[in-house]
Amino acid sequence: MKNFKQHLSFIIFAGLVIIFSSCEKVIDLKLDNAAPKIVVEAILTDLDVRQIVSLSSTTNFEANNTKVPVSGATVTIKEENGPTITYSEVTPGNYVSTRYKGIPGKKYTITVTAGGQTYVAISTMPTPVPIKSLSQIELSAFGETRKVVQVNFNDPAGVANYYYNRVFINNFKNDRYYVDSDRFTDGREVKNNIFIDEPELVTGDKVKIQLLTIDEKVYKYLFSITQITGNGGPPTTPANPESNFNNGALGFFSASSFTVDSLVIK
Amino acid sequence: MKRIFAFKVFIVLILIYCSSATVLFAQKNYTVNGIVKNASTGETLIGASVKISGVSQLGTSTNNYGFYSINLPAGQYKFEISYVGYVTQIKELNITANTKQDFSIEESNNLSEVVITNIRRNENLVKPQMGVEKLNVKDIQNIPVLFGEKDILKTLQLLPGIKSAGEGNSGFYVRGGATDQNLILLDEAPVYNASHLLGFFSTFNSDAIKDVTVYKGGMPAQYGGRLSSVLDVRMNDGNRKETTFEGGIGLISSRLKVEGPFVKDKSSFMISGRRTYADAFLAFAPDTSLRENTLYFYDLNAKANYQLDDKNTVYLSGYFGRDKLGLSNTFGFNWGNATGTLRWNHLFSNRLFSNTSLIVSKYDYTIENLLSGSEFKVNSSISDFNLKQDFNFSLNNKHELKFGFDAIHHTIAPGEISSPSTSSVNEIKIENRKGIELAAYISDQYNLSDKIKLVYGLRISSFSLLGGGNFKTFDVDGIETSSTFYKPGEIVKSYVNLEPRFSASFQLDDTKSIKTSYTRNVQNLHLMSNSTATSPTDLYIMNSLNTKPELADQFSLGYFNNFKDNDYEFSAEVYYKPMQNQIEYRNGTDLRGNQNVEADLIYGKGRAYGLELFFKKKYGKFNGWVGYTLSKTERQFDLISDGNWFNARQDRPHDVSVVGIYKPGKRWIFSSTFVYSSGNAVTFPIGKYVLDGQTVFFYGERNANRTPDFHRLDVSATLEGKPNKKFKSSWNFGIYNLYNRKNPFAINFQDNPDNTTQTQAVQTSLFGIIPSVTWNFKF
Repeated sequence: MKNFKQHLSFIIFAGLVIIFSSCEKVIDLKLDNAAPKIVVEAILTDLDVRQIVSLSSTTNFEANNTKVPVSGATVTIKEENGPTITYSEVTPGNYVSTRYKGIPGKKYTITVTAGGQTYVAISTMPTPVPIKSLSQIELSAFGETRKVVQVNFNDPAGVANYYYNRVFINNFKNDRYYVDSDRFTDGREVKNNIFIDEPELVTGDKVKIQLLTIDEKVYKYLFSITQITGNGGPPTTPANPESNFNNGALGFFSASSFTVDSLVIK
Repeated sequence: MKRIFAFKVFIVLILIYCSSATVLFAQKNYTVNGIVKNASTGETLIGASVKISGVSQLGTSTNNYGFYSINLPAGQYKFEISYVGYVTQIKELNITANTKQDFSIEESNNLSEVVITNIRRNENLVKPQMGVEKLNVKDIQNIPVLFGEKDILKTLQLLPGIKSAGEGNSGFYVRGGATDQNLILLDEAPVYNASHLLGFFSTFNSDAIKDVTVYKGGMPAQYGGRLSSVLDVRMNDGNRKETTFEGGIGLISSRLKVEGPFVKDKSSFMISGRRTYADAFLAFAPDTSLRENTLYFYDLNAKANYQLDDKNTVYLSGYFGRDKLGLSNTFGFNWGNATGTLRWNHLFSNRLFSNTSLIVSKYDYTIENLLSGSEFKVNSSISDFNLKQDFNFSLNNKHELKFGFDAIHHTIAPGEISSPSTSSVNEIKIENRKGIELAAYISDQYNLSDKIKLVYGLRISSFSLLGGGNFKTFDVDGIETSSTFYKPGEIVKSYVNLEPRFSASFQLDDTKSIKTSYTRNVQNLHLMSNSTATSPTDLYIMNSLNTKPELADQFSLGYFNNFKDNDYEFSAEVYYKPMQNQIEYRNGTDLRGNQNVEADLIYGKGRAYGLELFFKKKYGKFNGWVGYTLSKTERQFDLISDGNWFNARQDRPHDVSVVGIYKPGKRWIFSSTFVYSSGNAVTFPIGKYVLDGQTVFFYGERNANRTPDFHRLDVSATLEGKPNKKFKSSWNFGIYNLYNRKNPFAINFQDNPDNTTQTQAVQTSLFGIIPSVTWNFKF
């Protein structure tokens, strides 16, 4: 529901902006440069696979959008009352475990040591919420009709649930964060609308959606970023989101249950 | 209970003071009182000057109902009645007893008449009030605006110290204050959202407006409740002489006003409406789905008055406005204000004027999602009931007292989500909040000598949060520390504040004066907006267990100089304004349907200081002004930017506006405005990273960067129809943004769509060059 509201308010906002003859141009700004910071991308799933942690560092605004790998780090994940799994670097910046699966309800602690500094984050794997089905609907606004994918699932009642939809179109990951909470839909059969533009969905597109349950901190991190980028209407004053890592590391560690489904757009 | 008792004592003391003073001074002076009116419409004039020629110390001005009262020893006097845009009237009166004397003065439709009258007003020097601007509603009609929609809020933004909250935005910042720190009153009723269409137009249809006064500093004691400014807008009472029709057809909207007498010279009415018709164009759209969309707003102002006798007049006025947006079968959104004011003017004696007002005001919005499977409806509102009592008492020719009290009951319904059982959305009701604001005030305008005049006063204000629900406290990290249930009507928390108000003028000579003022203002209602633009869904909250009243102290000093027989006026004002208990929200706060918004609020300080220069030519074929503001506005929050002071959103160091109006003959009026300001304080990235496929930006210190400068030139021309006809019409042509400047509205950072390995900064500009035409008529 949140996405829906955000997107509609965005459409209205955009519509008004268009009505009032707006125009966009690329401008040249002199931006300051911060010292590089470490960025951790760590998702631990409940699938029995080799889990991945990726380490990179921030770059200047003018630099290429490619990850600058952080190599030579040590990465371990400790399961509450359980084993500690050590990750090893297989390609620069990518650290991979042996096969193991996370267990819902367990607390996991990740420890990353790089450049003489240790970064720690904790995440508890939420109860799994499987995708029931994907369906397709059409929406029209201001003379445009959009094909929209709905993710259907049953939200568990009485607990706060947070979701991260990782969306792949024709096997390319969409870069937007489709995050959601059950604040308005607790215990309901949820039909979550996934709005995709640039490019819009067309007949024949294969849409794959991975539904990850995430904890509140990870949700807030990703939600803050969507707020700043204006995905939900007029943007908020930008500020850096709060990571669940300490010592100034960026990124997040999420222990997540995982299901996937796909459909072909009609 | 204690407080109510204290108020009673306060009021009784004032009354005793007044009546005893009446006895003391009664023998010495006679009182002349009455009403100053427009001769052709009978409309009362607010702030008209009533002066006694040759005695600079003797003079007063009419109050908000056109009433004046002046005390004089017996003798022969020349009364001089003047008002902007009117021919000054001089009347000789022999005062031998208390006298009731009304004045009717003529509008100067034609400027040459003004040139002939060689009495020029210099109240700007003499009055102790500073930081005040009065807009001439006639001038507003001639100043170019977006789409030709004349707009008092946008014209106000051309004055020094008053800044636009954004292009085409009717929100405004006064001396470093936020948009919610302005008290906007329409016939005394607070207007909670003064804008239409997400801020592009204001709710004030200038056809219905008689008088606009804005206080940037030195607020008189009768006003309270907001930190930064008071915008006091008064509606027309209605023509008491004859029925007239007035209207206009423009690009965006059309307007119609009808006014006239019920009983000639005793009673009149005014009804004025405006509606936009963007949706009418949608109906011609080739696409059927486009035709099913709704997009419009309307305003309706209505007022009636009845003069029961010489001592009693009643007024009833109302305002209703609403915006409607709808997308066919998927989405509906509407919002609007409704206000109503019932007033009773009563003359207790020829020197004690009383006004009693009963006021209601409501702002609400509704969002409807009609999409099958996730239908829901959100309702939210803020509503007020207000009783206000004001007295004006002219004690003698040295003292003029104002005192009274104000009681407001607020109800905020932050949000209620309703949905059918088939929807995936749950019903949620967030607890309503109720509060009572009580205030009492007294102020005295004291004419100490020919040269020195003072206004000093005190306002006592209190706010009580009333029960009916669970009230929580939160620690600095936003973690709940307690939750207590309070029964309806039970007092949860009270705050009492003293608000001293002082201003003084020292006249150096006939053309120069110095003024100074100090005021404290308190704000008990706060608007939470988590976006960089204001939105109709912004949330009002009241003081609570966590949120304290916002406080501001303002110190200001000004130098005023008139030249060339008061034709030119120059002023320089400096101000310093520290602010306490300012409110911000945490990163990633979601204000929508949030039960515990306060957990996400953080509190800090603010400070604003600046210099305002103003040079105005008041009379002649060519008139206008130049305003310049140099200012700084900062905030400090322990949890933002490591506790360092940072630029507030409204910080814009330089701000220039130039307005010129030229009337070469009887029919054409040309005008032009130019505005320049420094860019907005914004936060730019200082780095970036890739996280799960998305480019994410790493930001530096809050608001440490600036968007490019803003500047724009607008022109307009008005052609008046042939004069002296019963049916009058005029054409107004305008061009907004004449040189098509692409001003920044927003700057976004994103991946380059043509080369996704690169990022770029993209500037969005709202309005390019926009012509407009409006046809106005009157008969």
